[in-house]
Amino acid sequence: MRIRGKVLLICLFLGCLFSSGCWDRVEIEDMGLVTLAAFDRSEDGLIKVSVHIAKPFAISGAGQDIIDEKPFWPVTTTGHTVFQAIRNLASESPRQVFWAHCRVVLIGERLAREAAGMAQVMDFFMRDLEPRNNAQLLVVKGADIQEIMSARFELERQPGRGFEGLSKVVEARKSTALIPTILEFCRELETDGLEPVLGAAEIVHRPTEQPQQSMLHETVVSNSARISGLGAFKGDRLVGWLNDHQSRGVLWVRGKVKSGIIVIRNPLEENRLISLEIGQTSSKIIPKLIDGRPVIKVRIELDAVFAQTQGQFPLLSDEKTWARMESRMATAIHNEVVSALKVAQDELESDIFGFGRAFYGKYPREWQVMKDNWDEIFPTLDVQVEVHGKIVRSSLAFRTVKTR
Amino acid sequence: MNLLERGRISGYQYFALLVITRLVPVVLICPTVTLVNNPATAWVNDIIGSLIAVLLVWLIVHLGLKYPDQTIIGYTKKLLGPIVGMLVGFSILWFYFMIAFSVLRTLGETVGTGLLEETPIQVFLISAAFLIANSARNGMEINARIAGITMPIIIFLLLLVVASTSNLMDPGYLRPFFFGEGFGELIWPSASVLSFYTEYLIIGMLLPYLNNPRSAMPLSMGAVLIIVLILVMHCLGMAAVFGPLFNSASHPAFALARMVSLGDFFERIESLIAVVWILGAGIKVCLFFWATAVGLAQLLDLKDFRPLAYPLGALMVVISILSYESLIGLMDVLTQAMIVYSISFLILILSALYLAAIIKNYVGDGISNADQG
Repeated sequence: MRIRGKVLLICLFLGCLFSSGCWDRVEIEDMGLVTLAAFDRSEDGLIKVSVHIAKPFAISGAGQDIIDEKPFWPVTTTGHTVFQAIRNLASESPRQVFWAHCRVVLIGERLAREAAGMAQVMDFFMRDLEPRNNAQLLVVKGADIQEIMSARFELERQPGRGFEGLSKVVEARKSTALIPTILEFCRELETDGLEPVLGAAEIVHRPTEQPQQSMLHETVVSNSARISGLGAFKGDRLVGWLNDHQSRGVLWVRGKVKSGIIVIRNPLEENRLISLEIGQTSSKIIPKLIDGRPVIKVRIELDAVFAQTQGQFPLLSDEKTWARMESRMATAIHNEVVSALKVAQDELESDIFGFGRAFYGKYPREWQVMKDNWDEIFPTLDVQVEVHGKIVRSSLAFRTVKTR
Repeated sequence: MNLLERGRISGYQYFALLVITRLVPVVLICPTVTLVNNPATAWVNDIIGSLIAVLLVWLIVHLGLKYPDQTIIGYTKKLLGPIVGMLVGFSILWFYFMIAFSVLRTLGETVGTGLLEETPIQVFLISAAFLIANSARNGMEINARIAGITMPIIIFLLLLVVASTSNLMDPGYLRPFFFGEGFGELIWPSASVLSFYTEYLIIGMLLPYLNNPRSAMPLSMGAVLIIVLILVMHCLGMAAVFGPLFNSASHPAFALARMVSLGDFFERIESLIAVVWILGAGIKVCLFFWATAVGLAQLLDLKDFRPLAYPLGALMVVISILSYESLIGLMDVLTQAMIVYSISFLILILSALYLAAIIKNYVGDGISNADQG
């Protein structure tokens, strides 16, 4: 028994020798990591996918010389379906394309404007095991995806990281765009009484400089990209664009404003301007039914910091001036929200604010009736905007620099 | 009657086995989720299903405590006589075996979808079944000890995933508390929740091996209580993260873990959930497999159950492959036929046994504990 046991044990361990590794292993050297992906409809009606695949040998490590070679390989293929187009990359890429590291996905305007255009891309990302559905989603405004894929960022060698950083900074510092993850976008797509918005990526043309002999390692950036406002959707179809001003109006209502600058006129010198920095914000959508007629009240509250002034700084004891500044700030925000409302109600007819959702939350029974003709109700919906702003700090100075 | 098994389990291990048994369908595939209509009210199903389950579990434990030194197979034979007892005994064993091979197949399919996409499922099933049969053959104590160690890990990992997706949660999706299609929409999901509690018929096999059988009642109720807490927490977390996408995921706990991304470094923790799959499902399959083997030996009055382990293991692999065409077929069974079957089966078995026990007591030749020896 004892010997038999030992023999069995040895056999088992021998088995380990032959069964090391798994069936579907892929060595890292054989993988091509996608760092940025874009989808669009090509001219001939196929799905076009364009990706950046990282070139590990061109990414310089610490202490090494900078390699003067772009660290990614842009490649584009087409197919009848999204997945076919993606799989068609296999005939061009010598390394197996691997999606788990793709953090940013761009959607071309043509595909976004189609019915079920976005949905098919989303289906791939929600279903497939490899890609993450917390990749960030952007819609491309006024450019071909191949053009925007040629954009370079001076601060990031991988454009994928450039877009990722850009999204983060715009959301956190300027709040003029919302860059949802794929999950968040799909969630909004399915939410009753809320239409999704996506940050709009736009190309920035820069004059091309010829590199001179002496500046060997200097990269010349010709095209760059920026995030400018929002693309508004209705269902999964892109219906229009919002500029920065209107976009922040949408974000105010949605309660997603994190920071940003509000410019108002200085109450002490009407031709001079004051910058206020947005601090803590909160917003509430209060739905009401008045005689069965839906009415929305939006209540926005914020703290702001007196950030910079062109003219005089009011005396700390001058309560009246401070109150006037606060009311001007409230008016400025009110204007942003109203301009967003105007576009959404008159032009887009798309409830990007989630007013319907607010009704569903508070009046679920009435919403069951209302939701079928929400498209007709929304454009004429009575929306009252109420802004309560306070200026709470003035950073490091209590007076401005004086000019004698 | 010969219990065939020398092992004894502590109260804590019994508790752990019960908790893991019920948590496996939450972490692996969660058929309840696909039946839910309004994510905001999904947690109500967990509570309704568990409340009814409390009654069923009470009945199972109460019956077991009448014969604390016999397994359910033992007292089925005593109560229902040799022929009917044999038939009912077989049907109970089939129920255990069905759970064992269904969970094994589910685990195989899940590992095939989530981790090892190109590994043939047979490879996984055979190696898992070998380990399980081997462990069961060596007695239940091993499995009970593993369960005791892993239960806290499983619960911790599940709750960790829920907690670390809090940055994605939108509390707006927990409202409104409203049943759009009437309270009828609660029936199927609640029945689905309940149907997984019917697996607690396994208590009938575990009870006589418990160190102190008298503690079975509070332990079983405690297990249901812990589970309902975890179920509700998990459900609320999922509803807040996924919103209307709640019922779209085939592996909800895995989908949730994939979303975790805290501060750009705490992310990609779904392999932890895969650990939970394999540990939890392995323990569960092993438990039900062991129950089948021991129960079969008792039913057929064999002197030893161990020779049954490997043949039953081979059978388990074959049946698990043949019984379902695909994961889609498996889900179809789990969301429809299995609910009706398991609930009605449990109610039938319990009522037959209780009826027999009452009649035997009334007639007077009932088995009192004294003549058990």
